[in-house]
Amino acid sequence: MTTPAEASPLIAVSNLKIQFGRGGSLVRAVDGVSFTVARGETLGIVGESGSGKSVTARAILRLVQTPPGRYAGGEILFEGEDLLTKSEAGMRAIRGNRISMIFQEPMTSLTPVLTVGYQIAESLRLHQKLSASEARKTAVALLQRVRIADAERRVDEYPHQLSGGMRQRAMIAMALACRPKLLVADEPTTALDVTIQAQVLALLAELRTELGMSIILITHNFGVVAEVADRVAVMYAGAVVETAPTAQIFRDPRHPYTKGLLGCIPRLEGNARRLNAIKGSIPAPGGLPTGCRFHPRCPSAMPICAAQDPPEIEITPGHMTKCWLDSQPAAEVAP
Amino acid sequence: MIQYILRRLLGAVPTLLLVSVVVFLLAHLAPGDPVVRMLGGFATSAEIEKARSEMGFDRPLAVQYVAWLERAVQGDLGRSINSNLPVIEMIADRLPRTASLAVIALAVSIALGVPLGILAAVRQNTIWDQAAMCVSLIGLSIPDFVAGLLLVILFSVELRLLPSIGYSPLNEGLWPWMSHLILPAVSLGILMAAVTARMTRSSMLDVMRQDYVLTARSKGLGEVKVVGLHVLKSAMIPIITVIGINCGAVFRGAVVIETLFAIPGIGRLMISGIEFRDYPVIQGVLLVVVTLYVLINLAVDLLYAWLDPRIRYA
Repeated sequence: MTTPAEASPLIAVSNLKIQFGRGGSLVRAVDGVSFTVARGETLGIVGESGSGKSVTARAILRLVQTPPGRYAGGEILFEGEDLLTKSEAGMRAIRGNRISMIFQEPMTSLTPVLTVGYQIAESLRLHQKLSASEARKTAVALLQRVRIADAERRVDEYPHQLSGGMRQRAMIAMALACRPKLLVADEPTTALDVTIQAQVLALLAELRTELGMSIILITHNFGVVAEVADRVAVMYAGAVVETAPTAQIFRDPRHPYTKGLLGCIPRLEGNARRLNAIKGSIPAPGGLPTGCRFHPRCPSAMPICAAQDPPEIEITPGHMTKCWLDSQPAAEVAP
Repeated sequence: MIQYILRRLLGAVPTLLLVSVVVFLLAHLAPGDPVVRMLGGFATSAEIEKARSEMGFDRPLAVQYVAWLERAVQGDLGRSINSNLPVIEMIADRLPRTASLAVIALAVSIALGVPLGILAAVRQNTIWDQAAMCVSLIGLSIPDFVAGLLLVILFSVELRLLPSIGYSPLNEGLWPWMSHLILPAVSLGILMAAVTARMTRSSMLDVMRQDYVLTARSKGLGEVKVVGLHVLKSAMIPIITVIGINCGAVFRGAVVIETLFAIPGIGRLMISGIEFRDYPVIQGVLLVVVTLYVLINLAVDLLYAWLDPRIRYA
């Protein structure tokens, strides 16, 4: 896979900051995240639980509850418009229409007391002003498109009558009903069986090509990234620490955190008896360490790492990392 | 769905039988002899025995029960010992009054309680929430007869807007009927509104934390649609439960409120029945009220199934 030309990105997030609480209990869940996604591109955002990736995903649709949350800075340029300064009505016209979202838990992400068909038809009636019967017809077609057998009957069923895989397909049908430009998928396959995971990922890839949309795929699983993403952004403790084309990140990971994450993937070959793990745990966003936020867990930490946040360095075109190991001053300051 | 309804209807039969046993025994366990009471203090013991056997009170309880149940199923609840009128007619006469009171009280409780609860949930932890919960706490703390007296003082004595006592049948005009029922219904409805408001709030808050609410918002739906449809419909089961329980509470409350407002309803009939040890009246009223209660519960169960498809197919 190659990186598509980044002439004018579909969405450009820059220096996004989202905070919860105030004063002593201030939590910087997202702290200066920047990335871009080109038209038709799939960006994988990878990180552990608590790295701020889900909050980032929700922020794109401005779905972070305020309060307790607060958009503390940065901008999200979508087709040239800053989503953070848009009116609520303006955002509603974008949600489910030009940007859609699918969530991790298909079991709990559909309203249990409304039929699947109604929930799909809802966005069509809202954004495309279809009549109830037109919307229902389109809903059946959408269910068929995501390969739900017997769609004509399923459309009138309730979520609990569908299996997990079918519910996630129905979610996808719902999200793609209005042919969005961008799909934000927050751990779309985490709750599914492995065989179903592969089917859902294949379906997403197929629909991306068909609709020419971009996808932001949030996941903690590098395997998922390898399968569908063109580019990867690795997040740690509320910030992006490394960005690279997918092939590049597997071939030449630069940030110790990325290396650690890749090292955690168990392999069948070799004779390693223990699984690798990154020692320590992700810091609470309320108590971020000074300097590089990964340094307390980093096997290659140097004195400067605790003192100063490393700048962003471009290793090769499109491959950025934030680590003193790749920065010049490291050599000067290191003893 | 029809199968479900039939199953539930059949399930209500044993409940009703059990209820009939309890109702029958309850009146017989109460102290005091109705025959002595009816004949007065000067009757000889021979006269008392004669009256007793005429009324069938000398037979074993089980025999009396079977005879009573047989007639009750056919709509014959016996005659009042006191007035010698058929009990079923006495009840038929008074039930519409109590039913009017109950329906309006419930309507008041729903009209006040549900919106108050929704407001508190949607504006959680704001001044709106605290105000709504404060109002409902006051509602919970005031006994219905105190509320009734306060309302009478304000609306009947001071403002002279509404009558303080009595009842006017619906066929004599809508306004006279309404005007006599507003104060008693509001006094009864306040407590129920408070309970409904609290349940609505907590049930809505529960649902608003669910993932599917975020899904609904991510589709671009406005708050009215998200809260009014996705949240409220999902949150309805506990609210309906409380409203169902309130239906029962209305009959309990009617005993006090009908006395206070001099409405000749089922509650008053019950009180006078107890005063005169009028077994047939006590049994008849209890049987009718409890049967209504069982039917209301059945209706609530059917509403569950209609509201939540997961119950229908379980």
